[in-house]
Amino acid sequence: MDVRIEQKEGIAVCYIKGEVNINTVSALKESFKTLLDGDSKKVVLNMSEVDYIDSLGLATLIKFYRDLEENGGGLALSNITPKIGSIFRITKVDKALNLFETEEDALNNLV
Amino acid sequence: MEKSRYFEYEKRIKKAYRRLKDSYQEVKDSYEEMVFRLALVAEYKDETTGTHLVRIADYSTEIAHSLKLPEKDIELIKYASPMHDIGKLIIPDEIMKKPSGLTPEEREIMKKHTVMGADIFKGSRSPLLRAAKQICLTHHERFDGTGYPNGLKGDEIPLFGRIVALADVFDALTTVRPYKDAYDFDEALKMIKVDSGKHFDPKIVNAFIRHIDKVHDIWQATKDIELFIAEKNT
Repeated sequence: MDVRIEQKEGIAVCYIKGEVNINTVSALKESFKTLLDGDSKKVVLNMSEVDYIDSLGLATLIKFYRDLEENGGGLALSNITPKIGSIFRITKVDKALNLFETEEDALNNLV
Repeated sequence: MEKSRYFEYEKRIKKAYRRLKDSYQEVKDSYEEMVFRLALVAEYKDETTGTHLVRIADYSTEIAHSLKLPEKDIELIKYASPMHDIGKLIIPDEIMKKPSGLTPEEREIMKKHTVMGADIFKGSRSPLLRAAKQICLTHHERFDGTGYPNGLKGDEIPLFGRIVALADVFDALTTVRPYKDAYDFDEALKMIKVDSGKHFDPKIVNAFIRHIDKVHDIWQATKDIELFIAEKNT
């Protein structure tokens, strides 16, 4: 799994590529920690290249969402593929996190 | 051959290969997406939570890793295991949603979800759907031969069926169901150990125990997810 971070309009956009699972999630946690320690507490996760997400991955997203909210920031997810969307749906995570079709919509939500 | 023409051919071949790879990925993604959509239908009927499906996939995958199965088998069980109860779609609602105990006749009908599930995937050439068929049919078999539908014993039960049997029971033990409270993690693990060689293959139990820290992480993660969803819904 790869994580790449870009700054756009004062918001961190995080591009996640590959499988987010029990064996890869520590790299994601590390990136989230870096973002939380940074200046911008508003983050977009672009999920277009996420191949799979397991329960550890979902719990990590949720924890990051909580941490950002507690620090006065926010988290928006964009470009969810149908496969990841179906996992979000069955776990009902889709109703609890902020999901957007495009990165632009997600950015606009956080501005 | 001219050098420029050679490069042109090379470029075309690479492009065609990329297209082929993309098409393959698209087909694979659609298959895998369908797994969760299909399984979701059965979950609606069962009224258990969707996190059950993700946990079944995660526990089964972890056991497969612990057994050091080939990567392609790990992928198969990850995507096939959530379909284990798909046959429940065909069980009448008055049995599925009955609040109290089932009569012996109703219990026999309920047991048919294994055969019905296998029937849904019958005749498929897809390795994923063939694995799903095997899991549907055999995840209620018991190592000592007292399970259903065929009373298979020991290694007669396909490996995927033996893995999902443990994942499914462990998950049932550690979650609240309409008819019971959840056992805590250690109690459930103790019950699994007691049933080693009876309900479960001792090799699978040992594999599960070898990766118990990761199993605990999965258990904890799904509890966190459910807590979050519950908070959001209040």
